[in-house]
Amino acid sequence: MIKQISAVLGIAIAATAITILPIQNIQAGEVPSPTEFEVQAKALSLICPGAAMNTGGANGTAVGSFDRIGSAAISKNSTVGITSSSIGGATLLSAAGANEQGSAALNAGQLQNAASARLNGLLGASCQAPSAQHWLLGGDTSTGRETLLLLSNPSTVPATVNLEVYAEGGRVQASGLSGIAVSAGETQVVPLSSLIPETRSFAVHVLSGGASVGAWLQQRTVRGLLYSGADFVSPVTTIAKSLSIPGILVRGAKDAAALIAINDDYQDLMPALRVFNPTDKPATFTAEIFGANDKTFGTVIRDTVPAKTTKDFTITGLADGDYAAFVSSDQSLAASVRLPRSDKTKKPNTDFTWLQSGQQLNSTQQITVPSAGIAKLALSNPTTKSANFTLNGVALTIKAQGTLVIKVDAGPITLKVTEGAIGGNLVVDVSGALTNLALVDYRNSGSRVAVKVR
Amino acid sequence: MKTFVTAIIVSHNSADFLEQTIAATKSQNVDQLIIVETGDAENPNAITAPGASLPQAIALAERNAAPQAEWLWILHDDSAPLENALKELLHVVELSPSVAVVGPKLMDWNDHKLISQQGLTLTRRGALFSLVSDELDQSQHDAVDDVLAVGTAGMLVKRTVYSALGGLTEGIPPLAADIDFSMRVRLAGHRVVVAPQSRVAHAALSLRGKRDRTWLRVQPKSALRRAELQLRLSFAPLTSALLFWFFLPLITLGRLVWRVWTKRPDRLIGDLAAGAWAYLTVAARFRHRRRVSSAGRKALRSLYATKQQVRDEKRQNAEQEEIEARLEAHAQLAERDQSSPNTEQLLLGAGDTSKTFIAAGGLWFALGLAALSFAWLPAAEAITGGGALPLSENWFELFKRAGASWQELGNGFALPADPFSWVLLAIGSLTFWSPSLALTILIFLAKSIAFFGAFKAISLFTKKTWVRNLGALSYALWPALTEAQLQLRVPAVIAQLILPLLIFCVAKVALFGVELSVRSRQQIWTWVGLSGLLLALEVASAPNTAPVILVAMIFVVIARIKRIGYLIWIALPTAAIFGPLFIHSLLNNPLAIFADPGVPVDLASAAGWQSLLGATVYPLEIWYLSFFTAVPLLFALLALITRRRAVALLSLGLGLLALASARIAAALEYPASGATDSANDYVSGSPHALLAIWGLAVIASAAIALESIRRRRALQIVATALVTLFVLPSAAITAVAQPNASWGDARVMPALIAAQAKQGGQVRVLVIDAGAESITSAVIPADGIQLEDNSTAYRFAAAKSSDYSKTVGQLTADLVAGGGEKTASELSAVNVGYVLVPKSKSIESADIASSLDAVAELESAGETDFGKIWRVRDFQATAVITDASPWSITKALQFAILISFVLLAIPTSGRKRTAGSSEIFVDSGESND
Repeated sequence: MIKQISAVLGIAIAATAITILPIQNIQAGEVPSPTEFEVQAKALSLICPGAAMNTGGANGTAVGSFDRIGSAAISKNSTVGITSSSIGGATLLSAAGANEQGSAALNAGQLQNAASARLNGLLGASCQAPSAQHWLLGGDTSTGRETLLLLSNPSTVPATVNLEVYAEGGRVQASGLSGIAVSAGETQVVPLSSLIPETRSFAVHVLSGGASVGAWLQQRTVRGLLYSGADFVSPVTTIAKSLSIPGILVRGAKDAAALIAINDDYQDLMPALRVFNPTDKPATFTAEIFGANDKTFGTVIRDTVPAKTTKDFTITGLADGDYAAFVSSDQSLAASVRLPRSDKTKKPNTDFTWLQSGQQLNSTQQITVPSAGIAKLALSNPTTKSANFTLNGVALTIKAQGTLVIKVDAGPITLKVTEGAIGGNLVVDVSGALTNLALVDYRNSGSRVAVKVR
Repeated sequence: MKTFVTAIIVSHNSADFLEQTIAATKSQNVDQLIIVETGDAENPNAITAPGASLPQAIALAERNAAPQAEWLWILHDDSAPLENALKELLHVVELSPSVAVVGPKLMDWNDHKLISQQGLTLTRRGALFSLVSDELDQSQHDAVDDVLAVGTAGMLVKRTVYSALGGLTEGIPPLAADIDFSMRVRLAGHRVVVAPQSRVAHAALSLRGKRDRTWLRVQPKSALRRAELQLRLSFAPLTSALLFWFFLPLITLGRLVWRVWTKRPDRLIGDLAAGAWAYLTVAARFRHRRRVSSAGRKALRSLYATKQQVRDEKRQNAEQEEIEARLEAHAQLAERDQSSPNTEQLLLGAGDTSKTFIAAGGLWFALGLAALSFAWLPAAEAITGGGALPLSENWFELFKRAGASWQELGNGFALPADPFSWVLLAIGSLTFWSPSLALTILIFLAKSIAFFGAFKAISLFTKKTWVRNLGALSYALWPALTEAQLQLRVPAVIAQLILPLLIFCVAKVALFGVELSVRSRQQIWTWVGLSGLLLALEVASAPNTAPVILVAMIFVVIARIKRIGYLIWIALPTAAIFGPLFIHSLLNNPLAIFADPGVPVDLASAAGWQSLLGATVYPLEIWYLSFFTAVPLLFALLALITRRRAVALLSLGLGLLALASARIAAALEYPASGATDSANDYVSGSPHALLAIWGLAVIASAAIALESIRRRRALQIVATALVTLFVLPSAAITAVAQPNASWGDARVMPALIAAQAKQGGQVRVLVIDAGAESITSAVIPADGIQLEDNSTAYRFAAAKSSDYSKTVGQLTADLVAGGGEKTASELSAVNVGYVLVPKSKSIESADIASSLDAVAELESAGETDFGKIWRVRDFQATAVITDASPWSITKALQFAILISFVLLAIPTSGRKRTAGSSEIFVDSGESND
């Protein structure tokens, strides 16, 4: 009997020992490591959306008719010569032969103060590098709001674009969102208002096959019979768990409150935060709206956005002043802010702009300030350490999670980040109409590419 | 008048035998006794002639013989004449004056009633044939007189004839000398007879290999064959002798195949050596050609062994073997103390009394398991997904890869192929017209095949049919197998199917198991062949099982040390196919030996408790479903309190060794990307085959426990518990689980590129994969990467940077950056005709695609199921890619060994089985020297 019991115990103990024994992983052999190879980068090209697009012809009733209104002014700067060409009304700028990439090689923005029967407002956009995909976070297709998607293909081969639209209820399935052909050297307009009507809040994922394209949303607002406000929405540059959106320059808050009190259609005169969660899990985020100085008090929004969903959150209680939004979340997010501007005394009395979260800049950034109106450089520091930089040689500091708004003069300016990282939007105000040009730094993959050969 | 006889004893270092022989000879009333010592032994009475051959020694003695000597009586030191031997010989020559040579009846040295030889002849195929071997002397052969030849042991030869013919020929193989001499005597017009009344005891030291090598100069088996070849070349007509010599290499090769087929691998080396010897020493062979008239040849032929004689001999040998096998089985039984009724059955040849697989309803279970596996039902010829890739559409490609020393990735490189490529060849050959089909079907039928194997393996442990069925079902549903099948881990599935069959076959060789069966030597060689092949398949599929199998084999050898002569051969095919990779790994990275072949598949978890329960993932992603396996584990422990706990202890002990190895195997990480790309840098080893060994050990022990339960009620409860708590839930899990598989044709490249590949040529494809941190690229052949193209050696070698990898890297970087001035030359330098960006939703992948669109040298060729492709506009191949031969020395050797084992493994049935046992001549141990 003792033999039997000891055999059972022996095997059981041995099995347990083998089971619970911690075993260290051992790596046998080496894996191919990426090697960096020197490559010659392509010439940097940026594309600007061109003049504002009007739909419906002169009467606003012709279906499928798109024509440009007026023209846009491009403010640009490069260390080398810039060549420009028209891509179906959009403008392609190329700077060949620059020694380095980024904004020093080429930076450009466009501005148009449209005042027509069908479209009013200040429209502006930073010119963007064509890409195979873009995320666009902005726009509105509810009643009285019209959003167009502009797609420009500057290449020599046709592109086929597929769109994924994510709204408050998740992904939107609609016909006409896929297989959009964009001919080489042409601009194609996609009337989102007719494809996804009555959608207040959405994000658009543009996926291009065949060639890289430039993509923008153009939103115009009509209140009753009054066309009051228009702007371009530029692509999102950052999808991350921590974002900052500088440039929430609130003016005319009292006028806005008065207008809202009269007419429900003026509800969108309150600034709003739009959050898109591209992940597969619900995201809980905290958006802190901080003032630029001690006199301005911000607010906090804490909420949850379901997976693959876009939601708008109205930012209430902001008095006139300069603010920046800092969003932190448990999932990677994209965020933008619709910033309205109201002035009862003017006609049209409202305008708006879509502020995108700032691309984190940590080197030298060249900006060309347009000559029209008042331009204010809104900078924010999303990090937890203070950031140091020089602006045209003047040393400045932004504290952690802080924002700074500086009025800048027309012409090229140099922003050199010496420590930390900052994001920025250039907010331009032309007699009460409002737009913004994002500070972006486009680089073609060049100089060094890491490749792992297996 | 008394005949003067000179006895000549030729001695070669055998003082003990010589003494007896001299004494016996002296009592025979010989007139003169001459002893010639050809060895280095001291003998004052002998003429010493160290190093002299038999003909030289006899010639020497003949010169020393008294002038009046009429007859020479040649004896060996180990041939002692029995009473009246000489008298009887002389009696024959007195009666018949035409007799010039007369031989005695040679008896066994120790048993004087056993005839070991009585006259020699040749078969019609030229083999030496002893007319009588190992027969009890009942005077049944006493009527024989004329024979073709007699051996020199005890040969009485007329001195005049001896001198006239110049004695025995020097320079021909010793075993041919006597037959050659006898035949010449006959050709000279004399008779050669045997005198059955004359008896000489003969110890046959030469043929038993008991003399030192200086006597025969080669192994007895080789010496025999040499003799046959010499006689053939000496006596055949010139043209046929020349033709025979010319085709000798082919004939030898054919003989080798036939030796293996007839399960006589012990004769291979002798045949090979003798064949080479005869071929290379052709001048010496032909020097001893005999001029024979056709009448003479005809006369000689009449004395050759008749077909009937050869057949009888064969039958006798077969019977002898059968008896030996039964005696062996009987000895086994005695060892185990089993009751005598069995003994009787056994001696009658009816060892196996249990139901066979089919009689036990095994087919129905196999069919049921196939039905449970409906999720793997082949929808098309090739299965893809997880660890599965199609095999080449062309069987010859598959053959080219097996055992190759040249890999076709990139511009080609020299690295040993995985032994697994032989496994793929074996599987692919089953449906050679579409190799992938066999693999697809194999994965579908995995559970049924596992059931069959496990039924056989468990039958070693229990006689009860229902226990066998239940055990086999448990193995077929063991989590490790289900998991490997779900993840399409091809090597792990194959290893788990082979495992129980391997155990069964090795047990057959070692005569393990609850039931003994009578196995003849031929049948055991069949099991050796099967075991050898299965072991090679097993270790090639799951190299990490090698240490456990080695330990198990050592146990087997220790337990059956007498059978080491068979067991040792089992390792040969494994050693052959692993040799090149083993040496390569030893020189570079020893742990690489254990890397799993095929497509690397990562391991979800290697938690200890999961391993104990035979799994690495949660079944259906529900953790508590893992615990169904605990039921057989508990039953296995019960076996330790039964009477047969020693077997259970050994089985579980080995199982635990496998479990520990499984944990270590899962902790070893190997480079993941090679022929195929991988998301991770490293991939963990697959413990599945080891977990299957653990599972089989547990199930075998549980079977022992079940068998020992006597009370019917208890048995019902236990069996019901096993079925409801393990078998049924596991079956349900199998039925519900969905493999990550898709079925299609065997193409792994877009049709455009595949079509180009079929035209041949030098086109290579650059594959660019966008990773989160860096870009991975590889140059692959235009027919893509099939399962057999995977190479573990390449995975370990890929980290090394070479000029080639730098060129490819630079090309990739340039393409990703949108092209440069050098792009065209870079493309042609590595023969890239197409660029492929595999299907992916990542941003990086889309960016790469738009960059490639911008490259002037490329034109987009559209989007396919495999990804986006670009064609190089002006394709030029400047690199010369050597089309390596599918053969190499190592491969030829591996192939020869594998084919030999296949021949061994095919059972030779009925009469064929004993074909060639006229050669048993050697084993029955009679000497004719």
